Amino acid sequence: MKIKITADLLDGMVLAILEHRDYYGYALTQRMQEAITISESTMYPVLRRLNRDGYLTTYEQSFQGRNRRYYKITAKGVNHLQRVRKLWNDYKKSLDQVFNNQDKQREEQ
Amino acid sequence: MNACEKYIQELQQHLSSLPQADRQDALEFYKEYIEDAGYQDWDEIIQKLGTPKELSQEIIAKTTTTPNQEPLDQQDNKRVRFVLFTILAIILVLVLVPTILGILSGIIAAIATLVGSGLTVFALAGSTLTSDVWAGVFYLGIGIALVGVLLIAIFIIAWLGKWLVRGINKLITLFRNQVKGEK
Repeated sequence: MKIKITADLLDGMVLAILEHRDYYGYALTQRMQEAITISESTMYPVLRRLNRDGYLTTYEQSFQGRNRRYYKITAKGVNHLQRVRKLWNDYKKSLDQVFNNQDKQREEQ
Repeated sequence: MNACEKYIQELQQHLSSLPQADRQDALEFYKEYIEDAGYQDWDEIIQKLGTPKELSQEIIAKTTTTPNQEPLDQQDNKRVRFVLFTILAIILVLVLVPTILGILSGIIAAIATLVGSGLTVFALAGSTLTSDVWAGVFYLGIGIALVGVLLIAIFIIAWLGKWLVRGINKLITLFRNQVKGEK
């Protein structure tokens, strides 16, 4: 069993990775796969959507006689990332309270 | 031709329904991807990315340039419904507003008349009570009856008003849903 990640969270994860530095497609997919299980065909639509919404831009850089497309987060993307990050942290906090039985601890005190 | 080129070529054929720019974008992405991943043979590519057909279906399903992924004819349908609803709403407002204004002014006039005649009758009762007791009591009775009628009228108006507000609210919600559906 694994936990399903929603599109919003996927977007947020990609933006969080790109906040650190620019990535090209394959490296970014590898980085995502270190964190979660996703198929290799998932990333293109996500990047495409983020690009269309203006959360990231792309630029080409030559590598061994061909071009690599790099993804760079925009100011709008940073804003969006902050929103997703806050949503995630709130969500995580409230679920932690349920899973770690903090209600019970509160009552015992 | 190596496996990567063959895969990209087949993918291109399956993406023929996409606009040129979108197709080019996807093909460049996956060509670069396969080269960076270092996939050499056909089976390896298919194992990681799926067959060209499967991949093309995923790309087309999730990469449409329109923000929502409903079929185009359904969108047109929604647009038509939206326009119809707007026209209906305008007509409703044009008819409803004068009607409501008319009813309101009628109600205000009726209440004013009731209050006015009530006051007159009470004044009459006050002045006649000293000279002719029974006539005074008669006027007093009419005055009290008028107060009763006024109370009943206020009750009915409040009840009507409640339903009116509810009806308008419902219409507004309905209209807002239509507009939201359009987006």
